[in-house]
Amino acid sequence: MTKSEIITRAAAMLEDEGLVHFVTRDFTDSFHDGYELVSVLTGCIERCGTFATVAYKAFYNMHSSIADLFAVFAFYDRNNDRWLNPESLQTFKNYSQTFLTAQANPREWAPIGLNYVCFYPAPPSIGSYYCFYKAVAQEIADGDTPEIFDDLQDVLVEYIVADLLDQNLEYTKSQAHFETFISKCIAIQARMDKRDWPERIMALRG
Amino acid sequence: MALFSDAYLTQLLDDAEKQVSNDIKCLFNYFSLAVTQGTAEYTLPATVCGIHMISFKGTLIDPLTHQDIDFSSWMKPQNLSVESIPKFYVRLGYGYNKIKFHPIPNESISADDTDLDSVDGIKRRVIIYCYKISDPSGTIRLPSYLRRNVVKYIAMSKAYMREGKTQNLSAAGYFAKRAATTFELYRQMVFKVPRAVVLQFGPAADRSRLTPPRPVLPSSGKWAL
Repeated sequence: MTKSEIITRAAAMLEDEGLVHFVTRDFTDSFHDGYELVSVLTGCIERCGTFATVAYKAFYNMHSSIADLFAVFAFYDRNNDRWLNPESLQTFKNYSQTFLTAQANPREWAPIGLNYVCFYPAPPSIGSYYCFYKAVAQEIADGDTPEIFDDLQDVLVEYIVADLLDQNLEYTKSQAHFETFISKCIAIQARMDKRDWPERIMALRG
Repeated sequence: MALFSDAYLTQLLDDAEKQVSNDIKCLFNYFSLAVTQGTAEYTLPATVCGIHMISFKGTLIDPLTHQDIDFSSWMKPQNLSVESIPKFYVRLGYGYNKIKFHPIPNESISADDTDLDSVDGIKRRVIIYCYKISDPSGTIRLPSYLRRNVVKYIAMSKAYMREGKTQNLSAAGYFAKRAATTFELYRQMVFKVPRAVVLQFGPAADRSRLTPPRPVLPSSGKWAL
């Protein structure tokens, strides 16, 4: 479904097909809020960008380099053609009391919160990486389709209806739609988590 | 006429933002601490809500609990005045935002946040790596998508609870429920994504048998995107 088709469905559910009670802006604002919330609650949008490290710097605020970042999940070292291993900061602490001052081509990285990452060892020179991350949804055009599983895209219809009923102070009705919205978000989350399994099971059999 | 004044709503939004950032602990940050020779106890900024680690001139110092203290020779009365390079810090028992170094630092080190990223800077300073509470009037803030959803719902719930003509308990209950649901889902994502990365996406029991999944680069050209 495209954005305009989703908005048309939401208007039909509100019996406001002619956009009489709510104006177009109400629907597009709610659509964008809902899409953003779905992307954050489910991690359904994944992107790849390039990222450069600075010499001797171990900690990076990725949010200042990538505007639509939600959370990083992989790095690929373009200079040395290899993946960096994900580890936890606690693992780095266990390596050495002085891990912060170690310098070499990074072998590992650790996510800290959602914005920061730490490279170990700290790069001795400028490095270039592909950065794979989960993204926060940005505004899309009317003819574009949101990056959500096809059969679960009506999660956005539920959000728009809930949001507009809430603006109309119809809290009981809104609550029912919001609960449906949340249950669909959980379904998307579950499907995102299980996405890899079919290929991996086939690989084991092969 | 507006139901609530802008000032009142701003106050509620600021409070809610601080509450969410404290509950989720997702705002990582680091800063240098000025240390004085012979002084063991230091006050941290009120915005620090969880210490990740402390580096004393490039060397990590370990946290001590009171149970550790019972067994630690550092805390015996005859050792409390020893001055040396700190090996431990204690967070509990000296105030909610205080830390105490053991042994007592034997040199004074100034604070300077401008060179904390370089190895030389790390070797010169005492650096606190921590989670911070959001500062609505500053630069350390929750992401906008969170402010427009979770924070807004919490603020609306409190606004409708206020005694007076604007009180609406059903609206307050509705927003409170909406805030709680969204907050919980978001909290799960904040903890799940980094943990999933570290555990390489697979359930722990299967990690030994399966190759960790990796994103696949496109085949057109060497590593081209």
